[in-house]
Amino acid sequence: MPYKRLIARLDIKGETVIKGIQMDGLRQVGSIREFSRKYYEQGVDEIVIIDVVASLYGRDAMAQIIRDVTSECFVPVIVGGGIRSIEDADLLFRAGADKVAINTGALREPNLITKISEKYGSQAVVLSIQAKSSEQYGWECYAESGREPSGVSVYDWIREVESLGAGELLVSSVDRDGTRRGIDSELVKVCRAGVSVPVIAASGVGGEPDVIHAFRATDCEGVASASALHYGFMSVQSLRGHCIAAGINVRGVPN
Amino acid sequence: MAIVDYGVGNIENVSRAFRAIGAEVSEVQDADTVHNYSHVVLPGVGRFDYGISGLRTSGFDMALVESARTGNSILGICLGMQLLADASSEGGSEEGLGLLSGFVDSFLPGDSHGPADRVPHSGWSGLDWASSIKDAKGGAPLEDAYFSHSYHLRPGIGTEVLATSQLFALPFVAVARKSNILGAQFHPEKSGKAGLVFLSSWLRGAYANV
Repeated sequence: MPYKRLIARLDIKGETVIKGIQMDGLRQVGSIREFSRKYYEQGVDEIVIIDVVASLYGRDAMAQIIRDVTSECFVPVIVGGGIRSIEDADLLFRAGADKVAINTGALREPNLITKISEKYGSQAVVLSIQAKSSEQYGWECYAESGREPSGVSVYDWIREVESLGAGELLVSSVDRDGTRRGIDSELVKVCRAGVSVPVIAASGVGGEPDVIHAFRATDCEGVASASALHYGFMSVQSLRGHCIAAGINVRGVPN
Repeated sequence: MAIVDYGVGNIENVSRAFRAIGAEVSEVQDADTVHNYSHVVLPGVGRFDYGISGLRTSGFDMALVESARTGNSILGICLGMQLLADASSEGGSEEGLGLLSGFVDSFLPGDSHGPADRVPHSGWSGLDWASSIKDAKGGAPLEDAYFSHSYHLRPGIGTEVLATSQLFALPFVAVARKSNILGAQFHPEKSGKAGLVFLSSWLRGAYANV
């Protein structure tokens, strides 16, 4: 069984890493190359890069960012944001992405997941869910980086995504994003119960205890941290140390 | 050194990793030039049947066999390792290059699936190195590695298993060698700094069977 993964998530606008609160009010925190390099040096298991304003930014510029990052960081890289077609995915894979993450594009055209997974394998397709709690749906899937309600219930969506070809889920909570109040473990549990593919829990990590709690409460395969790393509340090393001490099955001495 | 570009998958990440360790990398698209290189890397992601037909169409199948015969060092990575084997059950039943004896097979559904073990095996897993590597100068190059695969090599006669990993509580081949041929089921180019150490050790001849 693979180790549980400690993942750094970098939301970017152009070449700038940004971090908002509840996916709004984006603040600049630094350059993508500087941050990805730092987490690679700290021994992170995987890097997630999401272009949060994809529609406003050139595809070719995004590909160049991925080329830059993968020339310096030799760990798997998941890339998402604005993937609407197989050609968009082709460009990112060619640039060096190991997996692509798709949210809005899949909600609008579920067949897109199937097309990409037939071409690149399901392990290369990460379905991203951005959920917001809702009276009507329990949890509702949001599109466009948490800005637009989709009218699709998380419960309904997760029943479909695996058979469509998704090889992994990235589960974010619009309510918890950037709040450092901890992962929404109920949401992650609901998603994980509905699929047999690995699940990455994201949104809300404020420090090492939140990551340990997420692994314990949900048994998820990976936890993605953003603000807590960007603002220095923890490092990948300190997180790994805490996880090992807590008996979480993460890899030991980072390569 | 050369990286074989046979039109399947993304070879750029492998090139970048070798460049990062200071290697002079040629991405080779013409099979007739393979013999010019002392070190040849066969990368690959995707399906075995697509991969082998890509090698045949481009003439790299013969070129690699000839390069191996003349004693050059060949490293197959992930699907590239599997293509070096005798055959695979993926996509029907296809013959490989026959440079690394063994048969490539799926993880059988009957292989005592634990609830947490899944195929594709994708992620970081531990490596258990043979004592010939562990006890050698420098020791094991890496303790764990990044994998992404659904098939694995069942080694044949003459293939030495240098490292194993585990899935379904059973060991499978992570690194195998037959004389000047080396295969890595994991992705050294995605296995952090220690993965790069593995690549530079290979370039230095650390895994040569002497």
